[in-house]
Amino acid sequence: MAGEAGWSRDTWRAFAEMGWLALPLPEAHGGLGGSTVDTAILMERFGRHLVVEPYVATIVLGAETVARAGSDRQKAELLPAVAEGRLLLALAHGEPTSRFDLARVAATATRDGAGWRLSGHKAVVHHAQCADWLVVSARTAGAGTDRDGITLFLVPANADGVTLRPYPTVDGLRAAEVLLENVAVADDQVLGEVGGGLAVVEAVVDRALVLLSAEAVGAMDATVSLTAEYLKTREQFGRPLGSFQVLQHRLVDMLAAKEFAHALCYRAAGAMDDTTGSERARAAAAVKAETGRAGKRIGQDAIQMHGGMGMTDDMAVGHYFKRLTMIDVQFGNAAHHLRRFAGLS
Amino acid sequence: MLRILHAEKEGKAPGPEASFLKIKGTEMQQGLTELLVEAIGPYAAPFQPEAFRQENWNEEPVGPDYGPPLAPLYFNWRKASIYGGSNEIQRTIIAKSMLGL
Repeated sequence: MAGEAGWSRDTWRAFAEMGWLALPLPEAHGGLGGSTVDTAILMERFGRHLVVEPYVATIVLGAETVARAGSDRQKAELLPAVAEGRLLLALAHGEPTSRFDLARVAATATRDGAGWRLSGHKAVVHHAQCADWLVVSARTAGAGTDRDGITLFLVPANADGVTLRPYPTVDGLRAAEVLLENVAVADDQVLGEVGGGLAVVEAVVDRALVLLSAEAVGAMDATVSLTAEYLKTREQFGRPLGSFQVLQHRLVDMLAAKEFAHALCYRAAGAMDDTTGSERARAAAAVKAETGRAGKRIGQDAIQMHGGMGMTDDMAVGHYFKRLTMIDVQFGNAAHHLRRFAGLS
Repeated sequence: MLRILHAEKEGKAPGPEASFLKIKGTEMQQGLTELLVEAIGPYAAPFQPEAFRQENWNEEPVGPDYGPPLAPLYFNWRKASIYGGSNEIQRTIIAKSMLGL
């Protein structure tokens, strides 16, 4: 973690050398063909150490979309470079009024000779400012929340008509508003079927929900450990805080919430690679709802048990709390995914 | 709350009832700020402290103009159940003085 960019290229190179960037990518294109469970194990470690590098943006979202929807040529051009750490991607899908509804796409792509022209506003695109290529969704047909008519495009981040408004996020990551104004895109930059992009985005995001949850589980684990350590060492009223039963029980409840989220997370990760449609969606919604609730409870209680110290930037616990809060917000919070789960049952 | 205000008007020191009020009041404050973050959704994420700390800041914020302070408010109000005698301490006061435990 360093510098203006908010993350480190050296660390990214180390990730490439360890094979972590290649891990979930297809073997035919420079990847290791790892399962979602493999990637979840990695994401859990990332969560434990508050990793700020653009792994979710480039690997979990960007490369996964290319791997699922790309032509052989697109995959050959992009994925080996991603695996080697030479190319960064970002998924520009959400919009200012779409909230958590993946089908609500207002950006448009209109025919222009042999190619397309893209216009629209993509909101809170994580790590767009460091991406070489943006995967952009836009409507080639339909309106509002129509399922048909959403198409994915590969857009160079420095293309004419692409403007970024970059900012840090409250948990110390980076994101940007992406504004597209009449951006010229060639026909061979269409990713997947024209009009059929939503199913791809849904599959990618469901898997991302599980992997973000794995990151949350790692952050929860670190939070519980930090709090236990604090209660053992901090003395109040002449004895360690950890000797008070009321705090012991509370910490046990935090540990239990983490364990349940952990179990659900790996069950869902196992389901991601061999289920589709509503079965996959149910598993993803369940784990995101559970980790959202558990993360909130664990984060809030950890701050409470740290007392005033927990409110300072000097204590790691506050950083974990912020990260857990932002994971809940990304791609739908606990309330959203509970409702979604109920609708799928 | 009215009982506490009445006692204060009579010149009496606030009793253990004030502890209930501290617990309830801070839980409400925290619940509200939590709801604000849920309500704004993805635009809780942009960190734009200048948008609510600087009075003469007149740029357009990213996202809705009411958005920038919400996540910081949520984080900051976690202090309410800690300061002024933590809510655990308030419960101990009630347990001792009203329940005789």
